[in-house]
Amino acid sequence: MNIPSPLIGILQSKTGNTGSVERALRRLGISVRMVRTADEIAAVDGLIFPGAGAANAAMTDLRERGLVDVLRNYRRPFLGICLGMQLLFDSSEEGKTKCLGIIRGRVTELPENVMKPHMGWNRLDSGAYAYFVHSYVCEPADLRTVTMTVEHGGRICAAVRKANFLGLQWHPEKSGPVGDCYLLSFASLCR
Amino acid sequence: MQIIPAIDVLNGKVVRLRQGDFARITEYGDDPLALVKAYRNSGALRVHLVDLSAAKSGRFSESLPALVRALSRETEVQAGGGIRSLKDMQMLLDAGASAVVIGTLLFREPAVVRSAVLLFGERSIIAALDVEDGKVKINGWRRSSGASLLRAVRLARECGILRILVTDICRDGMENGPNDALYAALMKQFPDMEIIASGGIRNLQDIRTLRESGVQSVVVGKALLENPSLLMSFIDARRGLLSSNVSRIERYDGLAIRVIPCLDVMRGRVVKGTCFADLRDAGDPVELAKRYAEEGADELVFLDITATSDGRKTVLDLVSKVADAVNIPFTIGGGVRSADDAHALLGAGADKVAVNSAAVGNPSLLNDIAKELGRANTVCAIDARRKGGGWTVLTRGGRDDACMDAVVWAEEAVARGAGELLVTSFDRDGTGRGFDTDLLACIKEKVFVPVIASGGGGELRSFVDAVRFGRADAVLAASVFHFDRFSVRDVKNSLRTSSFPVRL
Repeated sequence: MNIPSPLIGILQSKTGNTGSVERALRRLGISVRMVRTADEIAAVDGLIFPGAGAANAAMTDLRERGLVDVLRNYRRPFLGICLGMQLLFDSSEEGKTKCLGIIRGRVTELPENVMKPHMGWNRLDSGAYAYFVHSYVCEPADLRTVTMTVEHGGRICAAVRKANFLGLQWHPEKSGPVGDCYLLSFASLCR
Repeated sequence: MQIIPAIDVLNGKVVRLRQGDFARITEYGDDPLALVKAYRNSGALRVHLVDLSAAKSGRFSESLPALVRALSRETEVQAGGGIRSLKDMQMLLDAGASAVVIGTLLFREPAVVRSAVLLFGERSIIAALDVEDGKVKINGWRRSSGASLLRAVRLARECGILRILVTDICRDGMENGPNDALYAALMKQFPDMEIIASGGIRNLQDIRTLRESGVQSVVVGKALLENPSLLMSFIDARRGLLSSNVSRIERYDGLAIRVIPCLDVMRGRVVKGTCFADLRDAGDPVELAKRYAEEGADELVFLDITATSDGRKTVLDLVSKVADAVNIPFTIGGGVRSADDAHALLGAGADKVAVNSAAVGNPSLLNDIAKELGRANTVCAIDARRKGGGWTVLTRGGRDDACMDAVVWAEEAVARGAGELLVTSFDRDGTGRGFDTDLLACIKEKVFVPVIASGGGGELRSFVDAVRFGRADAVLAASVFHFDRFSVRDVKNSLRTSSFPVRL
């Protein structure tokens, strides 16, 4: 069986450091292309939005580039990582930002009584450890969209999915074999 | 205890098979929706829907998601039959299924199942294991997978699955009572899995027996089709015990203790000495980094110990090569004098940047770097030596005494923006005499960020002591790993034996 490898686009942004995800995909032998415009987005089989930095700056960047509706109407597999996941929600407390509104819910700051940022290897429901670095956390309105949780001063949301939109609070590009497996799984979803 | 009515559909009709035999079919009408409504009205919170035609042929049919779409308006639906790909599963979940039920696929393409668990979530996937005489059958019970039940459950667990539905074929449709001993044994052996029982349930007494053996949910087919009031009577009698949510053991674990090999780099080579001197060559940094990542290191720290201005480009080049080669985070330190230096390192692919001497001379550097990179990416490295009743901060690789109290400096560094502290005991470095746990504990007492213990890791127990007595969040060592005294995994095993969470 010779299935053509999908071409994954990484959405470049002014604010985020997209290098790690790109390196990870290349290391895994997944075809990857950096994309910036609607046309470039339309030409790839799936899209990863690593998103780093602050929510407000990232949304402003998307708006200025006219990508808000492009992402909202995206129909192929989409993976938001960390801030890229948080931006899928209605709003974020970080800089009181209105986000993409693709998944119902909001993003709140981690409470004072836990280690913040939540940084390091934490245990997913499956028992596998994944690498987290974040200070804000997603609170989906519909719990059915939550696909993974993790313990950090209570169960917090570690991953979501709604239709073709996937979000990961942890970093697959830094999570060892589990992260590699996630990225390969995402690529196979894009075929 | 949750009772899950089973609805098996064959060519549009609701049917029951005796022991999975397609020649022994009993029909129960052709309106699954009406049946689901009746079950819902009797108190059922979810139903178990199987497309028997697809299970038999092994070809997923799009009529299943269509049916799920209709039924899931009435109640939760877990659905299966002929699922062979990620797309099949996604179609069912998007149609409204609360979970998809897979069987044959687990044996044929475990990698796809593993992917599905990651992409769609552990709760969304149920592995159905149909057992006959201890062996699991597949393809609508017509072929043997060759696997014993235990092996099949382990395989499911390896794929990340936490929910299994175990049907005893010998009991199914035969009304000779469920195999409660089987379920009790499984629950004991796999305490973190949800075991759904199925097969042979005749009456309330059978359900009670299962509940007493600890089973949380049970799929009931024929008994409910023949006697729908059974559901009502059970739920009426046991309303208090009915739970809409899966009750699984929630484990508190928190963050894993990280084990971090440290690579001191000089002119492109890894070196190691004692008390910051007497350097020996320990290999190529990229090769070592790859090896440690494969051996299970949680993170790497590179310290450029000869950092000079003309060496900066070499360092950026190294960072970029390491970033290409490893799938874990790494920190780079040594010679960082400005936020621009730090930014360049992050841009080259480093995850975190550590500052040491420069921050002691100019503490606001930490504010600048934290502002630029974020606290999480800003590490303050502190070299400390015992002095009087406390510890003093050393700079320039241990050559100068900054005459600052190390604990006070740690507090200030965090207040200025350090998201992590890398604390090295100069007295212990390279000696293998164990970490300075007093130093670590004193700092941990004052700060609310992770502390990496460094300097002195020699015996396995010293790593455990750093965590137990020093309350370190991570342990770092160089020589013991470079010169194969023991491996990252050895350290993790010792930590785990002492009940500390580690990523294995």
